[in-house]
Formats: sequence, structure tokens, C-alpha cells
Amino acid sequence: MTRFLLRRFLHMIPTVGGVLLITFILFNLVGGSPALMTLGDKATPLQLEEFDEVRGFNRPLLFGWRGPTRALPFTDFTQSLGPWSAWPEATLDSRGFLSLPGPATVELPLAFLLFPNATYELKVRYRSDQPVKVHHAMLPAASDWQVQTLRIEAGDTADERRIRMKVEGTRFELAEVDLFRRMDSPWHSQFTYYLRHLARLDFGVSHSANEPVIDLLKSGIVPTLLLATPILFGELLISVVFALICARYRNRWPDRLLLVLSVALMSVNYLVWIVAGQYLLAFKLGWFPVWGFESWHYLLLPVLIGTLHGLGSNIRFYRTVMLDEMYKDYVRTAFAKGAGEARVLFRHVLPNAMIPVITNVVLSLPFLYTGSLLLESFFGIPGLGYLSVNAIHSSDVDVVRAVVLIGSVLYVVANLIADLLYAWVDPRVRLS
Amino acid sequence: MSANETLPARKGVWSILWRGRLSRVCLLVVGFYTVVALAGEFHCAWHKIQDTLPTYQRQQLDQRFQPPGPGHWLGTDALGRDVGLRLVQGTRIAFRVGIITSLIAIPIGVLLGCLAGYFRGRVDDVIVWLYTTFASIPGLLFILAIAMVVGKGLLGIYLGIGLTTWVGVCRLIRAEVMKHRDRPYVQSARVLGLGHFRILFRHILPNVSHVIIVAFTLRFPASIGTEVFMSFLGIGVQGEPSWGIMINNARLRLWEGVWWEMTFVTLAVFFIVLAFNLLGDALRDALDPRLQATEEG
Amino acid sequence: MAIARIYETLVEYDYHERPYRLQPLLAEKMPEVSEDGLTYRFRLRSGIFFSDDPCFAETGGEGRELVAGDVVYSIKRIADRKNASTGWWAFRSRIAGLDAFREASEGDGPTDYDLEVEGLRALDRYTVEITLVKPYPQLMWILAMTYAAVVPREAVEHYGAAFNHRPVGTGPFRLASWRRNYRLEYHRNPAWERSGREPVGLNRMVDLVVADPATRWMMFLNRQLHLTGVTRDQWESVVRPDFSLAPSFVERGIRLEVNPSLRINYIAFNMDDPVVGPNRALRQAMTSAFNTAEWLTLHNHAVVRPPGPIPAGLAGYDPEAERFPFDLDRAREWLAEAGYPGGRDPQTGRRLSLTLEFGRADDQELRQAAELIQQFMARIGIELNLVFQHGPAFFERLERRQAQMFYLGWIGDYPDAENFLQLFYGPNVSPGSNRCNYRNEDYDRLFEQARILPDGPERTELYRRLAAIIIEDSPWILASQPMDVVLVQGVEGYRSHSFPYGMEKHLRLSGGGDR
Repeated sequence: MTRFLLRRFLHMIPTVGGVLLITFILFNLVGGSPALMTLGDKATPLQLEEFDEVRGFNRPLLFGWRGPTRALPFTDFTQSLGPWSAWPEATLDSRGFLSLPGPATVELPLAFLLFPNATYELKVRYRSDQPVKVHHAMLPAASDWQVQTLRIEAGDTADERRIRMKVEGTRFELAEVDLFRRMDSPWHSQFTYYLRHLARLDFGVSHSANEPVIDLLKSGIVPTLLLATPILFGELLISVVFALICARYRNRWPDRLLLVLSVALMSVNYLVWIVAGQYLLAFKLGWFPVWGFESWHYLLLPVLIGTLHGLGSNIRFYRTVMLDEMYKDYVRTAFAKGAGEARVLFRHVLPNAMIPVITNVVLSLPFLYTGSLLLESFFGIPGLGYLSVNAIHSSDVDVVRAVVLIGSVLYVVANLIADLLYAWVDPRVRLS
Repeated sequence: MSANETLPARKGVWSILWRGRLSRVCLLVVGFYTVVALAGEFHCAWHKIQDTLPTYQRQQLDQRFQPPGPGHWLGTDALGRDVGLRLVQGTRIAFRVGIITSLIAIPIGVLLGCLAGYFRGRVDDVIVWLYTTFASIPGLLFILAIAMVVGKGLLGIYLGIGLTTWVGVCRLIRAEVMKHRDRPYVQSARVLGLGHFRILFRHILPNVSHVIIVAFTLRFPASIGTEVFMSFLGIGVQGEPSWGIMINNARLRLWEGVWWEMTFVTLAVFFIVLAFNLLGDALRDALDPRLQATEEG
Repeated sequence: MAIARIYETLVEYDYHERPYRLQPLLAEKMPEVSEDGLTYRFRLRSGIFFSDDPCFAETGGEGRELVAGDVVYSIKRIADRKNASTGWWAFRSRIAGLDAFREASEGDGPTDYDLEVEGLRALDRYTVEITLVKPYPQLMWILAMTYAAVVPREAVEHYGAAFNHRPVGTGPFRLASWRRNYRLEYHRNPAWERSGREPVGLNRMVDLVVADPATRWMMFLNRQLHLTGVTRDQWESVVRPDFSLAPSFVERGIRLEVNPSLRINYIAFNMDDPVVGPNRALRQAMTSAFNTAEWLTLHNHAVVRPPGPIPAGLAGYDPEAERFPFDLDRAREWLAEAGYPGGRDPQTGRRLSLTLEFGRADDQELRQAAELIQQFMARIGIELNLVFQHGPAFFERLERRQAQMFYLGWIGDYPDAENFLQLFYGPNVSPGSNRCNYRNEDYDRLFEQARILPDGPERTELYRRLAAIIIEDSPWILASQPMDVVLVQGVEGYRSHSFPYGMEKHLRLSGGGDR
């Protein structure tokens, strides 16, 4: 058993690793800047950059030397010069580049001074009849379009934190320009930053709430469990009872009726349950509050709806489980020995069917945690589902990522428990 | 056992379904919806070619909240748009989602499932790792997250649902292929010196194709449900009358007794999902009673 | 807004007076302003106490008296770079020495709040003097905003990062519990009464954030809420065309409060865009194609169409200012003049296709409005593509000047037209508040002239001229100025206000329960 446990435990590692990787890749590609969302639209680029610096968003994604910076926001010459028009005599060529007659000394239109003692990379596509001095580096002369990347070492003083260009020749043309932050090490990436923080159970900061994600999760877990636990067990109890009835009267009218009913229940969209429940039971009849989470009776309606919704598929599942059991030899033997139907059902079938039932319950435990997204967001139960839906609406990446990640890890763990349960009940499993 | 112990040919499937009374009704219902969806598609395409505003988008502010009656059989909505016409478009979108997500999920699932089941070893390990990883991520959140990344709109829905639901298909196909790979007909093909891919896709795949049909009927209603849900939350379809959007709109005036939009949309969703669920059951019974309801949403 | 229930400012808005007027709150009387308009001297009321809190270690948790040093500290705190305050724009380059203080706050060490700021001094226990670098008559409005709320240094230092969740103020209420984006509960602040002020009427107040309008409405009808707005879909059943309440609601004891908001919603053209930017006739054509009557019908006349960029209720507003009223024939003429006869580009023969972007994706009403705008433009042959996206992605596109056209609103920070006119001021272009990237040297010059003038006919005249330039150049299609409409049941003393900072102290329960 110990060896099995160990082996099974080792199996978890690649899965968890996969989940980490997938969630990271998925969420760090999302559009919209967390900095902008947190600081509002009156924030300056510098404030945004500082925010990114603290939260590690200005690093390469997985691996690499280059991170983004907001210091040079306007780099597209296809339509206008934007702030580059501050360069005296600079003109926009209709073919999409900036043209500057020389000789001239100009300064790049940075949104703010470069960070002191940081290293940047300036990538340009240009033409020039003479070399151009940029900061402390040199762009060689280029008769045709050429791409060059220069290292810019920002110093301490304000003067050293600007980028000056000294054009010696008669004409300097700039088609593309990009400024990057150069990292001290290619491992200084968002991914390693993420893993390092995860190891400390730091799930990041929600940009819409401006609070650590872990605090949001903690405050959301209680309402979620209060809602999801009764649904889980209510559903289990009711559907097992109905499944037993089906098994008892298999292929006779109660079974048929329940089957038809459960297919019908399954076919009603979750939304319809919720909308109708809120409108009829809460609003029209006034039996339940419409929305909110002030006391326990605010939970009644969501629990009722959640239970009803899951009932259809659960009855069918447990019915199959019971019937599978009914056709086994020992049941036939029991019947042959003349045992009563009820006795067979409760003494033989039910205990044996408990294994798949319990497995099913264990496997649905992780869903307790994400709760019912729709129920929570609709009825205003401030749990993790409510949190997640809001987070998705406001592109709150850190929150969604944390919820997904923890949900996945719980699922992996639940799987492990289910497997162990099987192995414990049926020793043959351990050998396979 | 020989190669011809294979399962009912496709023609057989249809005749089995047609013979059952209930499944015949279901087939007719699905057929009806398909026609409606195609009509919606033509309607939409026609207006696109003509470069005009489709009738289902036409707002008539003096015709707001008209109850069902002549002119508007199913009534009008908050902007005086015809509920019936919008329902047709909702059907179109639901079918698009059902079909396109299947076209994404099923090929991925089948390909990976076949490879894993046939080659076993390293290939199997990698694919099992991939689908275990995907299966571990909470389904709905995963879909919503992908949609959030891709951006709102149909593309987000297609990719969100398509890229997460191949797992079930993959698992079923893998199990079936594993059963077949040691069967005599496969072994004799191998003795004849046929290439692996030829054996896999020309000989084994046709014998496990019933899994694909069952998987399709199971995931079709599930993806419709997910689409309705996502559009309701405002993450799904944009600017087009999806069923989810219609339900959300219909709620606004329910308190005043504007019942028609809600009722008709609800019924439309219910009947198509019911028909598919019943068909799925019938198919499963006909094709392979051992396949269990392992796929739910 | 909500924070103003807990904190107070030197001056506040008069609750009843219209047009809006300021009155002293923490200050004993309105400040003495020097001749040159640069120095403001405030005398504080004595005997105002902060609410009891463990952070006041010296007094054993009892709230101490508010003094002049607190005012100075609070404004320095906004300037502190480490706080990344969203309110910094209100003080930037205004107060002598404050920008230097901000520069000094940069770096790793803790900010030195004892650093003198020349223009921000506590002369004695109850006197504060603020010195400006150049005249800035809007300062008084700024001082009534929540950014200028007075906070005790002890609490900030005691709670650190958690201070936002543990506010300690002098206001009428204190925060009892808080769940962000969901629910806030306030209780009356005993320190308020200890400061010798009239007791507030409510013991407890709960704010709920119910995003879904249908749910909100059902809650209100079921008396789960005391105050709610009226969404467009409910409007015609609730509010009659003359802004009175439908009788069935009056019978239920519900009251209706109407007040024009200081908000303008507009469709902006990105002036950096190569198609719409240089083509004034095109912008004018599109402005003329905007069907006011249908637009107002869609909004149930819950909005008015502003004739210019200055909303009704502010000095400089001119009801006659509109230059391009709805006129399809004129719109088509202008469109032809713009180089697109019949909406088609004669060179390619294709329809003119423009993109209008929205920063919200889950708003049904906005969506309907968007579709209507689309139809307006379709009638003169312009194809308008609608793009809905999440706020952050949207603003990032604006910041990068990538959106061709966008729909946005501006809510006045204070009741002065300057706050709206600065949205077209050249130096404010993206990523600043001039999101349409409008640049006009004449305009900038006039604006610089106007904004330092004190309130008076001379300034009003300049404001009108500025507005006229904008109307002519049409960088915006002015869409709507909404009316704030609130339904009230079970509470008395409610009055609609555009700047309701802390005004809940005037409420009294007629029944009982929460908000």
C-alpha cells in the first residue's frame, strides 16, 4: 500500500506541473494592463511602469533577456508622428517613416526618465548616410534599411536617464523603433516570479479590488461551502433514493417515469432554473429573498435550484450503478435463496454500490470549491464563483488564475483519494 | 472473431433510430431545428450580401413589447424587434457553436486518442499526461478563461469550448482503440506489412467510429448550454441574438408581465436539448450499451 | 463617494443650494484668499474628534482632536509617490513645493513627512495656509473632493497597507464591515456627536452592489432596498414624460428624485486617425446624422442631448450652441464634401467603414444604444463596426491612440466648465485626459487664459468661445447628458446631488432597516 501510495503520489507531479504551465501561459497572454486597471485612467505612464516593476509585469514571459517598458509609448509612424513631432524639422514620410534632416541633436520622446542604473535595449530600423550616436552607443551608417539593436545603460543623473541622438549626416530616417528593458538574467521572467511567489502561497494581487488574492479566496470559501455542501448532499441523498426506486421497479412504470423525468430535468437549462426560480419563488411569491447573503434563509433558494438542476443526471448515473450491481451473481443468488426484494436492495445492493457512489462524491468535492458560478453570481452569494465571474468581467487575471489553479490541484488530489479508496477496497488495483 | 464482427454500419444506425417511436420524433425535431438554423444562416448571409441591416436587428421603437399576435407571432422585444426572427437567429448561433466546437474538439480527441491507444508507450504517456492536465482544470472556468483571453465573441466561445472538451472524446477513443489493437484483424493487417497509420486510420478507426457519433450527440447539447450561459454572462456572443442574450433581455420586463420572449426562448432551448439527450440515449443503446454517460458538459 | 461618509474635508457642498455652492465643514468659515489669488488661509473648527480606534495608542484608543497638521499630512499623502494615489492629478503643479515633495518621496526608504512643503503649512493648531504657484480658482472644488479628505497619521502608520480597509475619520459614519464590490455596512460614528454636531438619522446603512438591473429592480419592489436608480427598461413604466412618478408607485409610498447629472457621454473621433482625424466635414456629417429624437426615445427621455461640451448647470452652458442638428440631407451633403458621396469611397467604390469601440461588454443598454448609433450611420451609408471589450483593454487602446472612434463618458469632478474643456487641451493628449487627441493652438491659448480667471462674466464668455471652437471642429459627437433619477422608499431627507459627499447624514428612516 505504501508503495502504491508513493507511486500514485509521484504521478501527481507532472499533472500539477502541467496545470501550472497551462494556467500561466493562458493568463499571461490576456490583454489589458493590470496597472492601468488598478491605477485608473488618470495615471501617468511612470506610475504604470512603477506598478509593473513592483508586480513583475515588465519581465519576459517565460525566458529571455527582454522585458517591455512604457518609456517609449509611441512607436508607430504609419499614421502620425505623435510626440515625435517635437523634433524640430522632423517630418512624416507617407511611406510610414520619420525623416529628420541633419545635423541635429535630438532627444527621444520618452514618457518618463529611464530607471536609474537600469539597462535598456533600443531596436531601430533606420537609414542614415552617416553614423549616429545614440546615448553612449553608435549606429553605423546604413544606405538601405537596416535593423540595429543598441544597449542603453541608464546612469544615475537625470541627464543620463534620457536618450539623446546626435545625427551627423544630412538625413536620418526612422521606420521602426522599440525600447525594451534588458533583464539581468534571462531567468528573471514572469514565470519564475510567479512560481517563486506561489511557493510562498502568494497568489498575486487582484487589480480590481487591490487586495491580495489569497485574502479574497479566504473570504470567499465560507459562503461557497455553505452553498455547495447542502447541494452536494441533498442531491446525493435524493438521487440515491430515486435510483433505488428505479432499481426496485426496473423497467416498470415508476422506473420509466423517473427516467423520462430525469431526462427532462437534464434538458432544462441551468439559466432557466435560476431565472424562473428567482422570478416566481422569490419575487412573485416572496418566499425567498431575491438577492444577497444576509442570513441563512438567503441560501434556501439557491440550494433548492442547485439540487434540482443536478438531479437529472445524478439519478441516471446512480441508477446505472445500482442496476450494474443488480445483475451480479451474488444478487441473483440472494434472490434465488428467496430473500425479499427490499432486503436484497438494502443489505446487498446498496452497500456494494456505495463504492462508485463514494468515488463519485469524492470526485465532485473539488467542485464544491469553485461552487456554482452561475448560482453565486446570480443570487449574490459572495463566494468563489461570484468572485470568479466578477474577475472574468474585469479581466482580473491573478484572481481567475488562482481560482483555476487551486481548483485543478484539488481535483488532482481528489482523484488521488478516489484511487486510494479503490485500492483500499480492492487490493488487486494496487498491482496494476 | 473476425473483422466483420464490427458494429452496425451507418445506414443501420439511422434505421434503428427511425424505427424507435421516440427517437423518430427526436430526429424530426433535430431536423426541424437544422432547417431553421439553415434558414437563419441564409437570412443572415442574404443581408450580408445585400449590405443591409438584417430584419431581426431592425428596431421599431413604436412597436416595443408587442404581445404575440398577427404581424409578430411571437411578439416583440424591448426595441420592437421580432422575437420569432431573433429566435431563428438564436438557433443559428446555437448550431454554429454545436457544430464548430465539435469540429475542433472531435478531431483533436480522435487523433490523440487513436495515437495513444495504438502506440502506447511514450506517446500514450504524453497524451495521457496532456488530457489528465486538461481534465484537472475546472471545466467551466477554463472555458470562460480561454474566452477571456481570446476576447469576447463567437471565436472565444468556439475556442473555449472546443479546446477543453476534446478530453472526453480522447479518453473514449483511446479505450476503444486499445481494445481493438490486439484483435486478430489488426494483427493480420500487421502481418501483411501494412503501415501503422494505415492500420490505425483505415482499419481500426471505422470500427470505433460509433464512439464519435455518440460523443457528438452528447456534446452538442452541452455546448449549446455552455454558449447560452456564456452569452448570458456577457462573455459570449456580441451584437447577435443568442438565446442567452435573449433570456437576459427578457428578464428586464418580466415583472410587468412581458412573458413571451422568456417563454419562447426557454422552450426553444429545452426542446433541442431534450431531443439531443434522448437521441444520445437511443444511439448508445443501439450502438454500444457499455458506453456510459461519462460525458456531461 | 462612500468614503466621504467616513472622512470629511475642509469645505463641503451645500446639500440644498443650486447651482452648487460650497460651505465650510471642517473649516470654521470660508478661507481668506490673498489679493493675488495665491494664498488661502483656513481656520479649522476646534473640538472635532476622530472616531475611537486602537491606532490612537497615546490616548488608549480614544479618538483625538483633529488639528491643522492633519490637513497638511493628508495632502502630502496624496502627493507621496509610494501611495500611487489616483488623486494626484488634482494637486499636480498647483501647490508650491508639493511637486518637490513628491520627487523626494521616490526611492526605497520611508517617505519623510516632516519635510517642509512651502505651500502647505500649519500656522498653529487650527490654522492651515495653502500657497499656490499660480492662480487656480478650482482649488476650492478640489478641497471638497474626497481626495482632500483629512486622515489621521496614526491610523495610516498603524494599519499600513490595510489602512484602506480600516478607515478612521471624523465623518458621520464609520465602516462596520466591508466586502469589496459586494457589500458595505456603516454604523453611526459616536465621535461625530462628541464633536458637538447634530446626531445623524440612521444607525446603520448597508450598500449592496447588485450588478444586474433586473435583480436590483425586483429587490426594490420587494422592499429589500430603500434607494435605487431606474434603468431604461423600467423607465416608461415608472416615470411619466413630465418626470413625475407613475401613480401605482406613488401609492406604494415611493418617491422620485430627479437631477441633471454632470456627465456627458460622447462618441469621440481619434484626431490622430488618418481617416476621421483630418476630415472635419466627415465628422460634421456624422454629427448631423445623429438622430436626436430616436436617441432620446431609446433612452426614454431620461437624457438630454447637450448642445456643446459644457453640460447644463454650469457657467458657459449655452442652450443655443448646437451647430449640426439632425438633418439627413445636410449630413449627406457634408459626407459628399468629405469625399464620400453616398458613403462610398469613389476611388475604391467601397462603403466607408469605421470602427466604434466601447469599454464595456456586459451592458445591455449600452449595447442597444450602440446598435442605434450603427443604424444612424447606416442611413447616410457609413458602415459602423461595433467593438465591445473589457475596460482595461479598451483604455489601453485609447492610451495607444489605436481606437478610431470610441464611446466614453466624462463625469465632472467639480461644477466648473474648466473640467470639461480641459478634455481638449493640447498638453493633455493621450495618455492624458484629452483622449481624442484634439490639438488646436488657438484653443490652448484661450484655455490657458480662461482657467486662471475667477468666476465671472469674462470667464464665462471665454468658456463659450472655447465651446464654440469644439462644436465647430466636432472631435466629439455629443450623445447624452443623463438625468440622475433615484427612487426612494422608506427614507426621508433624500435629495439628488451630483457630489453627494457624506450627504447621507441628512437621511432619516421613515420605516426601518437597511439601505
